[in-house]
Amino acid sequence: MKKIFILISLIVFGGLLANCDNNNGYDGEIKTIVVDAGGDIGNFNTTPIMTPSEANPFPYNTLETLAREWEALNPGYKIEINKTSSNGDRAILVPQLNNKTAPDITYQNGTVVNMDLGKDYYVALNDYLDKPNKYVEGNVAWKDLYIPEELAQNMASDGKYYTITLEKIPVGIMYNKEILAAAGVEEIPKTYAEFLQALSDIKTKTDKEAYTTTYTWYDIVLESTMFSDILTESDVLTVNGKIDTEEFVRAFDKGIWNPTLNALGANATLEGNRYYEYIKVTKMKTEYYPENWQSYDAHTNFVNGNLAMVEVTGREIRKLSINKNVDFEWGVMPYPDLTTETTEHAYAPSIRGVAGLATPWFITNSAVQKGTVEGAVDFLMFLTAPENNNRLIGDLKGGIPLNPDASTEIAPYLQDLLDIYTEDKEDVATNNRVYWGSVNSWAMLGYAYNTAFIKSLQDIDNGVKTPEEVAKSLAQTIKNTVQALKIENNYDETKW
Amino acid sequence: MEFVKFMRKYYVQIILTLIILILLFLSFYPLYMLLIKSFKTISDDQTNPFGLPKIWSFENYEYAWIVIKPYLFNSLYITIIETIGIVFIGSLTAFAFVRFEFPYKNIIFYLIISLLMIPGIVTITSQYELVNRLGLVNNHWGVILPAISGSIPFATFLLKTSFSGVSTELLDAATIDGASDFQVYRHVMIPISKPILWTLVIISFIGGWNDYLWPSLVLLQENLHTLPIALVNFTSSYYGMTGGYGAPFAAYVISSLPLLIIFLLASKQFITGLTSGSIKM
Amino acid sequence: MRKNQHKTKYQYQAFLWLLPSFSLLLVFSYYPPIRTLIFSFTNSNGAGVGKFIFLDNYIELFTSQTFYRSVFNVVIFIIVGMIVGNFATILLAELLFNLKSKITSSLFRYLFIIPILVPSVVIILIWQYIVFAGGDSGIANRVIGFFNIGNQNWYFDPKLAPISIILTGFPWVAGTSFLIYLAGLQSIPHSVIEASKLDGANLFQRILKIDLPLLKGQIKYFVVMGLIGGLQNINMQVLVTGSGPGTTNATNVPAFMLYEEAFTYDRYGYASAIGMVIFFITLIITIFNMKKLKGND
Repeated sequence: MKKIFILISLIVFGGLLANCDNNNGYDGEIKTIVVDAGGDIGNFNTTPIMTPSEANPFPYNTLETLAREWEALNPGYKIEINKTSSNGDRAILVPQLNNKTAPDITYQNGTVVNMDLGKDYYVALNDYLDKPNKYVEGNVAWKDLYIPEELAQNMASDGKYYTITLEKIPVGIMYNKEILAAAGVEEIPKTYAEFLQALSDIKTKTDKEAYTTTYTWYDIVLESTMFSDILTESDVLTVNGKIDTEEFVRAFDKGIWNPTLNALGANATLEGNRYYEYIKVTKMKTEYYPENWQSYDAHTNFVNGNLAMVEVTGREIRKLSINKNVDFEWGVMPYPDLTTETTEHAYAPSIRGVAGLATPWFITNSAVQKGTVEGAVDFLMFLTAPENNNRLIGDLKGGIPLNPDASTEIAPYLQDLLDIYTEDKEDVATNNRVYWGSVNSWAMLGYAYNTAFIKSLQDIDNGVKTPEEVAKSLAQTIKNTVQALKIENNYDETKW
Repeated sequence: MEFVKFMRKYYVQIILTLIILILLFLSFYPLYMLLIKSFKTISDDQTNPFGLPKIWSFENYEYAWIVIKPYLFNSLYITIIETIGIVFIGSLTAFAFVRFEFPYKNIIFYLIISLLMIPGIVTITSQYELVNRLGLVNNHWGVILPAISGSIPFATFLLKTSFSGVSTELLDAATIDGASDFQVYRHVMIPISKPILWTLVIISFIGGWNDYLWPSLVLLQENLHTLPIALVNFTSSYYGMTGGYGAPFAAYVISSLPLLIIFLLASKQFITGLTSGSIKM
Repeated sequence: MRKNQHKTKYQYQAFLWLLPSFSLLLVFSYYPPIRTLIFSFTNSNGAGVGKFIFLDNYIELFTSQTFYRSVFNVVIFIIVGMIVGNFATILLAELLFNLKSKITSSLFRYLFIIPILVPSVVIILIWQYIVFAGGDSGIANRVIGFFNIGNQNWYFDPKLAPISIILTGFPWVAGTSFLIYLAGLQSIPHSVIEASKLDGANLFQRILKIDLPLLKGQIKYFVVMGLIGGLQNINMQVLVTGSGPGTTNATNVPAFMLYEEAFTYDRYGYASAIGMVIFFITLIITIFNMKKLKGND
C-alpha cells in the first residue's frame, strides 16, 4: 500500500511540475504565435521520428525549420507549432474561437467562412494582400503571388479575404494500367462518355472493381461544365471568373440560374430543370461503384490490385506511391471532360489537373487578443514566398507549390497533372475552359447547404431517395438558403 | 459405459464450460487481432488482414510511444487527482450525514441525491460557459473540478449507505476516548470502510481514465490533451498520412497497459472492491 | 418517521464537513441546470447571451423531424441495450456461478475482467477499425462472408448502423455488471439452493424462481443506470457515426442532437431546450420507476 501511495505521489508531483512549465513558458516581450499546421493534402506537423521506415514513410520537419528561420529574422516572436492538428474539426474550433483560445493561425475547411461572418472569428486580410511581400523580390502586392481567378475562390460573401492558401491541390484519377489493358481499354478516357464506357468494360470484362472515390471532387468539375454558359452573365458584381455567393443569389433572383424550375410543389415535373440533370449526370458514375462503397477501402484495394481506378488528390497519390504492395504499373489521369455526348448541357469544361488553391490558413481572434496579428501576417508572407513555399510544399510531396519554378522538386507522380494544368491555363485565356470551381453552388451557398448537398447525394447512393426526390428537396433548400442569405447580408440589389 | 456415465453426470458442467469458453473466445478475439495488427507493417496488414505478421515489427511501438507519452501522463495526472478528490470529499460528506445531527439533514441529503437524476449531458452547454467564465478552460482543473462535483452525489450515496452500517458504539467509544471528530473519521471509519472505499476508487479511476467528451471540449491546447483524445486524433492523422493503422493500434495496446498493470498488482482488492458494493443492494 | 419529542442536540460542525462538497456542487452542479433553463428561452450562441425568444426553441424542437427520430432511436437503443446487456451479464454470472469447481470459476472470472480494463474509447476504435470495419478487412464482414453475404457498411449503412452500435463492446461483460451479479448470486444462502434441489427443481427453474427475484436489487440498479447512461452516452455518435449516414438520422439520439446544435452549429439556446426536454423525460421515467419498483417490493 505504501509503495502505491509513494508511486502516486510521485506521478502527481511530476504532473504538477509539468503543468508549471507550461504556464511559465513565454514571458516578457517575446510574443508566441501558435500554429495549427493542418492541411488539405497532408499536415505540416513535424513527424515524431525523422528516420524513414515503413511505419514512418514521410518524415517531415520543413515547417518547423522554416519557423526557426523566420524567428531568426524576427526576434520578437516565437512560433509554436501544435504537435497534431485539429483538422478543422468544428466541434473543437468553434468553442475555441468563441473563447479566443484558438491557435493564432489555424487550418480549417474553407467553406465555413461564410457561416462565421459577423462573429469576429478571423482577421480580414484584404489590406495585407495589397501590401508588398517583403520576402519576394520585386513584389508589389502579396496577392500577385496568386492567379486572380484562383484567389477569388477564397473570397467570403462579404467581399473580404480571411484565408491564405498555401498550395495547389492536384486532383485526378489514379489507374491500374494492367486492369485497363485486361478490359480492352486502349486509351486513357478523354471524355465522360469514354470514361463511363471504360467503367462498364472493366466491370463486364474483368472481375475487378472499376472505380470509387473518397470525396465529391469530380462533381465540382461536372457542375462547372454544365453551367459554365451562365458564367459571363452572372460574374458581373466582382468580375473574377467565378460566381460567388452574392452573384449566385442575383442569378437565382433573375432566373439566370434556375434550380427551382418545375421543382417545387406537389406536382413538380422537373421538366427542363438543369440542376436535376446535373444530379443525374453525377450519378451515372456511381452505378459502377463497388457494392457498399462508402466503407470500401479504396486505398487497400487499389494497392492489392482489386480496383481499377480511384479518384485521388495529392494526398492519396503520395500514400500509394510508397506502398510496398504495389507491384503493377499505374498512372494518374485528369478528370475526363464532360461533353455533349452525355448531356446537351455541356459547355466550356473545367481546367484539369489541379483543383486550384488548397490548405486555407486563418488568422484568428486569438492573434488579435494577443497582439500577434502583424507577426502572423509576416510569417504567412514568409511561407508563401516561392523560395520557402517550394520547400514547404515540395518536401511534403503531396501538393503543388504556389509558384514552382524550374528548380523546384516536384514529385514525379505529380508532374503529369501539373503539365496538363499548365497547358489548360492557356485555354482559359481563350474561353475554351473555365477555372476550377467557377460555378460551384454547393461551395458558395454556405456550409449548411454544402452539408445538405453532400448528404443528399449519399442518400441516393444508399437507396434512401431517388434523384427526383433529391432534386426537389434541394430546390426547396436552395430557395430557403437564398432567402436567408438575402436577409443576413442585406444585398444592395440596385447594383444588380 | 464409464464415459456415458461420466457424461450424464457432468453434462451440465460441460455445457457451461463450453459456453464460457465461447464467450471467452469472443471477448479475446478482437483484442488478439489488435495485438497482431499492432506488430504488422502497413503493407503486410493490407495484403493479409487476418494472418500473423510476416515480420514482427516494433517500429509501430516506437512511433506510438513517442506520440502518446505526454498524453499518458496527462491522463494519469488528471485521473489520480480526480479520484483522490472524489474519495476524500465524498467520504467527508457521507461521514457528516452519518455522524452528526443537524437541521434540514434529510432535505439536504435528498437535494444531493436528486442531482443523480440530471444526466450530465443536459447541462453541458451551461457548464461549458461556466468553465469559461471561471477561466478554467484550457486548464486541467476545468476537467477535474466538474468531474469531482459530478461524482459527489453518487459517492455520497454509496458511502453513506456503507458508513451507516458501522456500529455507532464503535464510533462512540473512540469519542469517549477523547478523539476529535476528524480523528474518529480518520482512524475508525476509514479503516473499517476500506472495501467500499476501494470500490469508489476503482469506479472513479476507470471513469476518469475513460472520459472523452468533456475533456475534448475543455482541453483546447493540445499539450493538455488526455489519452482518449490523443488516440482518436492519432488514428485519423496517421491513416490520412499513410493509409495504415499499425502505429495507432500499438498506441491502443500501450494505453490499455496502465489499468492492466494495476489490476495484476492488486487483483484481490480490485475484485472485492467491485463486488462488495453489490451486497448492499 | 416518528416525531422526535426531546430536543435534538444539533452538531453544527457538520456544516464544516459539508462545505467542500457543497461549494463544488453549488458551482458546478446546481448553477448549470438553472442556466440551461434560462438559455433554453433564448437564442444564445457561444459568443454570449442572445435575445429572449420565449418558447420558439421548444416549438422548433417539437416540430422537428430530427427530434422525433432521435427519441425513437434512443428508446430502441436503451430498451434493446438493457435487455441484451442484462440478459448477457446475468447469463455469464450464472455460468460462472454454477461451475462446480471454485478454482476454475475464479480463473474464468479473472480472465473476463481483462476486457473491462481496455479504455472505452479504445474499444470503440477497435470496433470501428477492426471488428466492424467495412470492406474485406473487418472481422464481421469476414464472418458473414462465410455465409456468402456481401460486405456490409455496418456503421454507415442506414439499416445496420443502430445494430452495429448496440453490438459494440462486449455485452456480456459490460463493464462491471457481471461481477456485481455474480457477487449477488454468491450471496444467496446455500440453504436456499440446497432446498430447491431437494424440491426437485432443475437448473432453469431455480434460476427463474430463486436467483432472479433475489437479484432484484441489482437489476433495479442497472435499469436506472442503464437509463441515465443510455440517455447520456454519445461517444459512439461523436467518434464514429455522427447523426447517421446521409440525412437519415439513423443513429441520432437527443443527447447527440444537443451536442451538435451546441458545438457544431453554435446554437446554445436551442441545445439548452433539448437539454431541458431530456431532463424532464428522465425525471418522469425515474419517478415512474421508483413508484413501480417500490410497489413490487
